[in-house]
Amino acid sequence: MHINLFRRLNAIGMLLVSVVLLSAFYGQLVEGELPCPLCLLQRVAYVAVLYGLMLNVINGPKPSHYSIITISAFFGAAVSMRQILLHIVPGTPPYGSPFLGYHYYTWAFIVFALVILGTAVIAAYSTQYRADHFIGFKDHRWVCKLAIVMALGITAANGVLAFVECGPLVCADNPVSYWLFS
Amino acid sequence: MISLLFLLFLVAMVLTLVDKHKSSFTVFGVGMLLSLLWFRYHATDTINILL
Repeated sequence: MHINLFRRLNAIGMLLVSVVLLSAFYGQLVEGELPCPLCLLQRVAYVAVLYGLMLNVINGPKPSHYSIITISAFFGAAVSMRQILLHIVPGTPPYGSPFLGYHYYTWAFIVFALVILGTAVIAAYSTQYRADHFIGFKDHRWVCKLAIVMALGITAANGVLAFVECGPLVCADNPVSYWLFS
Repeated sequence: MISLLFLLFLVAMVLTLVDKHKSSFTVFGVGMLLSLLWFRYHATDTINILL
């Protein structure tokens, strides 16, 4: 397989993770469901996965970059599993509205599990590690440029939205209003 | 606090983009460590389930 194919596959992975984060923005901004602290930590884990994928796109695929993706996805899976266990207790209501039968944190666990599985599969192709060199932004193909711009924009937007909701200190366990507007 | 985590990962991404590989890794490591500490802070309640 062509070596640059793996940079593009990582860029497509970045776009898929970006779509997941955009759907979370939709739930927050359009449907008015404020994310809880654990939901925000799951978004942090998605952003960390994006960082690992971006390393592969910009510097070329390396085993250490795939380790970063796996560690980040493992962290996200741990946070989402903690939230699933919180709501699995009888008499404990779920948080937020379900989507296709599952709540956001359950989908998050499934996505993080798929990220770990996908990373394990793609990291096994050793030919991709032969050309690990830095490529500047302007020299990338359009799909890689789009993935990089989306990752930077979504990470910045997450930071702004988290500040608007929680302020500089601790976020409320069950937030009902934005810190900046209350 | 949580916005600081996003800021750290954004800085790590920008450092990668300008070919500052080692600095980027360091910022990522700090961000991941703080994320773990923040997770520990928010996950202290006992869950009454039998595993």
